[in-house]
Amino acid sequence: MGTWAHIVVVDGRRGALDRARRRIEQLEARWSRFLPASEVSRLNRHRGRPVVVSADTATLVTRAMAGHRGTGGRFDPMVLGTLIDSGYDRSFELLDRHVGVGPVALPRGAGFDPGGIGKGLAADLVVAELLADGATGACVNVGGDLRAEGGGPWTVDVADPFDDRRPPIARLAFDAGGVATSSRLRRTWWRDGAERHHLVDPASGRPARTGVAAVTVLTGDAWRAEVLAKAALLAGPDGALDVLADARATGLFVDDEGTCHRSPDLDPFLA
Amino acid sequence: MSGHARRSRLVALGLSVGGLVGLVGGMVATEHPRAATTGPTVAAPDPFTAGGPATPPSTTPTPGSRFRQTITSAS
Repeated sequence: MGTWAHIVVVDGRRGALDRARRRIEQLEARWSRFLPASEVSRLNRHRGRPVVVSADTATLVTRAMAGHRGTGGRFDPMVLGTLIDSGYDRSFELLDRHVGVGPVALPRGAGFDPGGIGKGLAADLVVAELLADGATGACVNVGGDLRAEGGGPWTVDVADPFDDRRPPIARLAFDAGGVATSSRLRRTWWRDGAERHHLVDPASGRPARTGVAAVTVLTGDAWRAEVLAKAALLAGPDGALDVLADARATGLFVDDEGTCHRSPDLDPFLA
Repeated sequence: MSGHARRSRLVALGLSVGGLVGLVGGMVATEHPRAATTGPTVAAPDPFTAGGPATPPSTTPTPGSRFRQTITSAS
């Protein structure tokens, strides 16, 4: 997943922290598209053919499909700049027909990038496993997508998307929930004289520039928070908070001018 | 042992093994009837729409609880 992780275990059994760290490494080995032997890399390499994957990866794919449906197509892990450049021309809906109980097959011409949803789901899975293992509380933060439950309240600083050395733009507090932030200001590069970033609008196939610079979402699960953050960013300033409200989530976004806009129901979660 | 007696024993052994196989097969068939190929199906709830909201803090976070604190940013 190419990022850092922060794990907190409250009253866990001996070795719980090490087990959590190894579990994240296992998920990284399965889901990274930068590791040739990962299950996601095998899925992308063998498009159109069934590939036997772990239950973790089957869960990841089904969650991604659910996120795609739930956001009306705004969240689309099949959209990748590199894949578009290489001829990506398939709709994500096709994946539905190829996923069952057994092996998973990607349609030909499509590519799957778990990206952010992988980080969020990893946080969800590891927290659930820590609690099942006897911990009274746990927080797992994978590159800014985090899940925390039990042993709270937990507080989460929302970094300034324009400069994370500045003071945080908000501090969230909750007993249980998932948080994710999506920004077009990260993972940028230049090509053909234009700045590109990793958030591609499925409607246009181009890097999105909607007037929203960053979105932070707070809801029950980290993977849903990640899905909604991307969908809200693509919805633009007029629709971002509606996307969250429709999905029983709350949060805030920063527009391109640097102004912060909060969901009306965020107040109980502000510390 | 005469050839006839040997054949009789082999036949008896074969019948015994055959009976045992039949008995076990019958038990398996009885205990594990073949699944119906048609019937009602239970649709799993959609994990996206089934997801709930976050739980607000039950108490005010104390300034000293730094171990319960983390940060979110795009990465």
